[in-house]
Amino acid sequence: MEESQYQTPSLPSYWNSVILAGAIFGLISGIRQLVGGYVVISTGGQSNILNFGLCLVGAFAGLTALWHYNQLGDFSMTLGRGALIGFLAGVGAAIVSMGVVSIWKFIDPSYGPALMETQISIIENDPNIPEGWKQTMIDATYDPGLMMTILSSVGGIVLNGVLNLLTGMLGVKVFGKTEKEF
Amino acid sequence: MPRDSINLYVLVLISVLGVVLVGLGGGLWGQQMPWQWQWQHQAFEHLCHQLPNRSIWMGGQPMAVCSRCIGIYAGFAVGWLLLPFAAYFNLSKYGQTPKFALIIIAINAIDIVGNILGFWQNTLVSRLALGSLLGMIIALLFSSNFFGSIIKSMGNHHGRITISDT
Repeated sequence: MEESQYQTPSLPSYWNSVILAGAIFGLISGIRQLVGGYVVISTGGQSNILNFGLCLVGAFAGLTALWHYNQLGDFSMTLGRGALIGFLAGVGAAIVSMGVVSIWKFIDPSYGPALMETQISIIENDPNIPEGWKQTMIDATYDPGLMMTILSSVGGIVLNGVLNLLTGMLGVKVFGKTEKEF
Repeated sequence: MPRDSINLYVLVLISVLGVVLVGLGGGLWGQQMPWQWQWQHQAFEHLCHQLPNRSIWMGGQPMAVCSRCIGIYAGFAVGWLLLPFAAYFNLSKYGQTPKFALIIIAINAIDIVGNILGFWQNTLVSRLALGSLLGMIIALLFSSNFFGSIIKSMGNHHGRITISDT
């Protein structure tokens, strides 16, 4: 009976942290993709700083969400709750990132076609790509197909969620308050 | 181990193994579509640069992520599988894992910056090794959380066998 009377203290809502971290890292990821696209358009090559320096940056949404959530009060967190917050932040970041790129294509309608033309030019001039693949790749650049679009979008959202689930758990370890041992 | 912890451990294990399988790319399955347009590559598009010359090739195709990233994921998966052993040997008792994690994060950061600035040229193997170490040490940070050793409580629960908090 004594245990059943124990009340778990109510925890603050995590949605603000999820939305904030998702928006920040979605923006960073989307802008990185757009800037990378413009680098490709203008130079026909890739940017090392954007590529190596910001690799995996999208996986830090979970860690950031947990840092923010931890500022909301003095409470203990479980790894499961951290994983959930991280997962949601990652899903949010992926959706925001896709949204940023899509919105930018309306703001600058020349971006999409210019990137496509540059990519096709790179494919045509790349000696490492087998000749038999080139036409298939060019066709897929013009029209990736509905199934591919759905698979890659859903896959991207889920993967971002899973990686941020891990960094969310890491956030509990890094930012969480340690309970006193009895 | 409490049921919630088992569920979370298994969920993370399945998720990470899934990430590793997707990260290995289409070469593993002999997919015929050019790699840039395979769903594995598209799914990782926002998370990794995926440059073919910085990725490990399998089945005549580069993996869907670079060598450092696949190292991190695979290292984490291996570390996660080793958690029961880490708990058995009470790795967390020594309290050195967070320090090692910081050191390995710093080494990875130095390697990336040094390579960008042109001080040295890292290789597929060096990136894979550093990434694997990073993934594994991060997984081992959780060694005391899922397979807590049974302890004899000296506090309020004196006299009972309790399990460390998860």
